[in-house]
Amino acid sequence: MSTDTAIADHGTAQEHEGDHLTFTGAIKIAILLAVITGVETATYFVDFGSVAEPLILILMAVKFLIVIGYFMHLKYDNNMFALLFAIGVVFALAVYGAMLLTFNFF
Amino acid sequence: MSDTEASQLAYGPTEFDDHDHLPTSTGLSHEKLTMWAFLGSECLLFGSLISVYLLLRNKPDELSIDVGPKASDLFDIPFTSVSSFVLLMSSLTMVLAVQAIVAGDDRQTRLWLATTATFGAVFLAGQVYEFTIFYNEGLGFTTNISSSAFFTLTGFHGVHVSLGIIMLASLWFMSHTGRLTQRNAETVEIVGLYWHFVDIVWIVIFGIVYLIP
Amino acid sequence: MAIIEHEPNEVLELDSGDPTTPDRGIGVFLRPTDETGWRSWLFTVDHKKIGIMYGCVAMFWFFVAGVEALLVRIQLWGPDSSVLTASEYNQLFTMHGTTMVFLVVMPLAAAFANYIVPLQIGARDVAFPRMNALALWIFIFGGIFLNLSWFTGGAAECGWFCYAPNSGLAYSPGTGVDYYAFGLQILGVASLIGSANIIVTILNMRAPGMELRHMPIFTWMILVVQFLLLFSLPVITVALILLTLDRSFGANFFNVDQGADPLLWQHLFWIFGHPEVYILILPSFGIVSETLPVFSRKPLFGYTFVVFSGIGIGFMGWGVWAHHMFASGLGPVSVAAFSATTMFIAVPTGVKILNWIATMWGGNIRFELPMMFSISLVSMFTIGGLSGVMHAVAASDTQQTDSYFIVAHFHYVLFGGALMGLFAGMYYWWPKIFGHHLNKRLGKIHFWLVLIGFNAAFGPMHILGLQGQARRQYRYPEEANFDLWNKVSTIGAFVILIAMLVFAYNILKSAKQYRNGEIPQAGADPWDGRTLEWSIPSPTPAHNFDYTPVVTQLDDFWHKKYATNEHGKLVKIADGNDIAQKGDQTPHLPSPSFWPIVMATGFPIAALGVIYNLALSAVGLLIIVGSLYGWALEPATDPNSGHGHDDHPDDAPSDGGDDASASQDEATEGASVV
Repeated sequence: MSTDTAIADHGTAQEHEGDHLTFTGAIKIAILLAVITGVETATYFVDFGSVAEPLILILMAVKFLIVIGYFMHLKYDNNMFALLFAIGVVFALAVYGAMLLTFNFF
Repeated sequence: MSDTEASQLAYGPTEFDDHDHLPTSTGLSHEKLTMWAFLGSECLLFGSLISVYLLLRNKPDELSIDVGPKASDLFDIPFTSVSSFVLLMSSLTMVLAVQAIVAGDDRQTRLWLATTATFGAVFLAGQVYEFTIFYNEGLGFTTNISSSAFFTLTGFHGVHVSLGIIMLASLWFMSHTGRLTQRNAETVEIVGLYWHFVDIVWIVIFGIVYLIP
Repeated sequence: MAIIEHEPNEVLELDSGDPTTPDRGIGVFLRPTDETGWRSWLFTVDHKKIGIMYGCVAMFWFFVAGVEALLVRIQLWGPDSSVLTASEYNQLFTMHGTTMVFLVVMPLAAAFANYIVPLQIGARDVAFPRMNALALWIFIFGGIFLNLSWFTGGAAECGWFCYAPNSGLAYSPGTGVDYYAFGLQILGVASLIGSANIIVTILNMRAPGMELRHMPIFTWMILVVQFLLLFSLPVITVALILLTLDRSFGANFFNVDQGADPLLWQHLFWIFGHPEVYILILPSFGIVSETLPVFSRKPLFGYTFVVFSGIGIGFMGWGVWAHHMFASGLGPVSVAAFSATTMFIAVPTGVKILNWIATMWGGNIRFELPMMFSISLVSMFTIGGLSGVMHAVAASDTQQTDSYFIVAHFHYVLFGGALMGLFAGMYYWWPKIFGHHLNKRLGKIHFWLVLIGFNAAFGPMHILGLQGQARRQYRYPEEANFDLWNKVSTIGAFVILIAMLVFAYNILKSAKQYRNGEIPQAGADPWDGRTLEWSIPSPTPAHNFDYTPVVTQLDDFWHKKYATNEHGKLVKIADGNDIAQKGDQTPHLPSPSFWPIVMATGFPIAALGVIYNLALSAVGLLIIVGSLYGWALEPATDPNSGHGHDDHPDDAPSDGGDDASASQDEATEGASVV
């Protein structure tokens, strides 16, 4: 936990102040998200064949990361927050992935 | 040992005794840290609901008896795409609400809070409409194992959206009565974190549940 | 301004804001002010009182669960016994297990976590004092709710794991399982709130200079446990919700006719259940890692190793759950994988055992009561750990599953491990909490009776299990020849009862003697301790620390007392009792509040509603939501309490900070209610 610091540098959060998402930045990201959603939805109307499933999963992951990175500003914020959240995500993926595997794969 | 010697060794008064201004060890606020810990915990909650759905969604096909349709037989992707888009845009307006309160613009704050809550409500209304359609087509909560899993997962998400709307409405009301000002920007930010989380859960549900049959 | 729920984050707090919101919030129409008497306990937000209440309530349930165990043992005294019916027997072992896990060991650990952790890190309270009180009251009401089932047609009969589809309406038609499901759900909410609170406390409220690598080991283990709780509770929450939806709302999750797979419940339960095992044992590991160095007069051997093995156990504890399901037909690949991970988790546990032994090695050991219990943990837990490794071997486990060998194993780790450690903690911190020692002679009687009774009760179960006696069966036939060891076991159980009566007598007698002045008040540092809780008077003053300690190293307090002289020899330079703080300052503290206990009543009411009448649920939810708003609008520190605001006339942002934290409480809890 690299964020473990003594009292002296409690101002670390302040250093990131300048990196905040701007108004136009937020709009741009929203447009990007909208476009990705459009592509996702397109897989329903157009036959992508075997590419469809991996494509949807990748786009989903990209959207996920954009929202937590920019809208929830994990990208700019203290790593402690990202760590707390990442533990949850990683545990969820690993544990439930293993559980579903045991049902399908001996 | 004399008292003076003892007092030299003891933990005496320091510059840190003004507890009102004692910085936290990490420099992070208690409240925000709590919210992130809670969201980490929520990942496990939705993870298990999604896994349960994935496990059970095609079970009716494997049975030789007729147990009614699966949820995925009835999906209306264009409709759901629109409501997903509305929820996605509510994340944008939430960001704008946080930016407004950081800038100290109470009017803008209220405007974007209200917009976010409205988008959330539109999404919920869409979900209620979808559930009604499903029910009329013979897919109730108790119809079969796939429908139970589907309604539980999406219903749980819906409850989270509802709670978010209640929080947003409370913030709007607090702002209206002058109890929510620039100083409370972090409160809005924290509610925003919750709101974005609800959104990313839907991003996952939309991808895994709706688009991948 | 609250000393705790303040606004430390400067990111968003700008100076240009308007003057503050009104001093007196609209939610604050009345506020409890008592500092003594029963009201001071009911509405307290003081982490010390909350810790003591956790302990007292847990000891009450310990008595209840002990009586349940004794009834089970009486039934098993001889073959073909008819003291209990099969149904009564099922209810008793179910509730014995559930109570011991959720209402005894977990809250006892929570008691120490609440009382000791803030002291060890040099804090005045936890991060969210009112949330702390809320967690306590939800726990208390949840425990009562769970046990209401005895009076409403019988408790759950499905074992503490309550496997589906046995837990479904078809096989468990009574309300017992509903009480079980909601009881655990309510207790889960309490644990979740408590865990978030303590995580934030430990991460954010350490004394200046106390980096994570300077943190006392008990605090470290509690931190790991709170993370395990935080991430494992949602899993059981979902499992219990599915069960409730099946039972009360006609869902099909565990309906085999609809293609349900009974393994789903088992997976979800044990994904929670195995981290839970470490939630039960790690606090005790933390306690003995404190006591062994103190009573060996040596620093803990390999502090870093102990910390990292604790974290390692926390992580690896997530990858072994299916070893509870080896006999369920998982398939050979899964079984082999989980068998391997299970063997692997013995490594960090073994590291700890070796570190403890090496701590004692060559030490100047004092056989005080905490030390005796600690040593018994090290030895008894090792026995339980060894039989645990046997279970990791899937082929051997298949033979032992559902036999008394398993019962022997987990009682050796939970009684011989967790409870022994908790008793060590009680004797160790008793002078700090209550200001006086427990009687040592009675304590020794207690110790030896526990140790002998425990081994007599659970040791023979190894033999019975290997002979083939099955768990959870209320009778065994005469031809099986199980009598002898069952009789020994039952006698052992009663020896434990006597031991606990001695303990109770010791508590009452010592308290009386202390009140009458027959035994002296313990000094601030009665054990020559190493951590910060010994640098303040015993019993702990209301505000904990006069001055915030500034630490520079691990075991900082000990290094204030000892130094090396010019010959490189360790010498004592000060006595802990002399250099301890005097407890004579009077800083302002968070004010008591009605809302935690009021809100907590909503949970069992809402749960009863689902079982009997949904209108009642609406009432419960209304109570929860209503108190949520009352809570959010109430500042953490009463503006009229005489101090707090007056001494900071220029502190304009104070109420703003309070509002922020209050709304955050609302946000967090509003969501966790579901």
